[in-house]
Amino acid sequence: MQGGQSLGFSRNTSYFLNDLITAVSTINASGFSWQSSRQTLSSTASRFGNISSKASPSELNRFHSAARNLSEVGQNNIRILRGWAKSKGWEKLPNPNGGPELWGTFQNGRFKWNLKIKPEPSLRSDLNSGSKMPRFDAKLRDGGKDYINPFTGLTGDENIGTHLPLEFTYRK
Amino acid sequence: MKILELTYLLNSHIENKEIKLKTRTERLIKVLFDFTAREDERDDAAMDLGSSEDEKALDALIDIGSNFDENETILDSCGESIAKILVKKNFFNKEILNKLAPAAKAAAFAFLKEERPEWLK
Repeated sequence: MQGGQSLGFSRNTSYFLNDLITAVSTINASGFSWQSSRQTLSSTASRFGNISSKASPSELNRFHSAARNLSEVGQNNIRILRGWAKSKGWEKLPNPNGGPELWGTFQNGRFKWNLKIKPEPSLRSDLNSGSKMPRFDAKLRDGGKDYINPFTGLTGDENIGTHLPLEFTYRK
Repeated sequence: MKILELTYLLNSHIENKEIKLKTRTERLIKVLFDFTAREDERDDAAMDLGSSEDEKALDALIDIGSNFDENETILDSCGESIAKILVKKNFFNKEILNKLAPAAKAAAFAFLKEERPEWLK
């Protein structure tokens, strides 16, 4: 048993909780600059409307806890990234362990990632500085030239689309 | 100064000295092989090792990438980084790819298909 399941939740409930934190954190959020974020927000908020009071902090896994501790900017950015991933038709990989949240596609039975959301900063001195903050990685397709910063639209090598800070207000 | 503070300063000094003695690649390899590290930390290490030209980086990535019991996210990043290094070195060895676990192998092939399709013919 792993993640939410170890806490007595069914697998579906674990997945549901995975989305819950963002819904709760964005219900009162304002200042969205992206229309689809508003649409996603309102649909998510209506889906999860009265359920936030049922989940206590102890029921959230690592990912949820880390996402909940982000600033409003960071939480909104996760919302925007999820909306962007959905708009691309990518699927979210189930994340019962509370590791990074992965979005991508299944090809020949194998998952290929396009977006990784990593809300936990690392305290390990051995890692590069980009790992020591909440961050995300994004790419449009395989190969070394199609990484993307979805907030700016810039594409290029891994320097463009990996270890991008989540708690940052991006301007096009 | 209190003994605890002195101990802390001494430990920090030793730690800093150790960090300086290790190369960036060695530090990333240390995290990749640290099975107590979080998935996102090991994944970042695997991804960042792809930009290394050090032979040790390739060896470490192959080592982890051929562990069939390894986490698939880590395997995927190892495979992609292995392919990145091979492209940078302009060196292709199919035997390396054949020993990789399926997830790592698929990621490496997917990268090479885009960057060096002629190698896969």
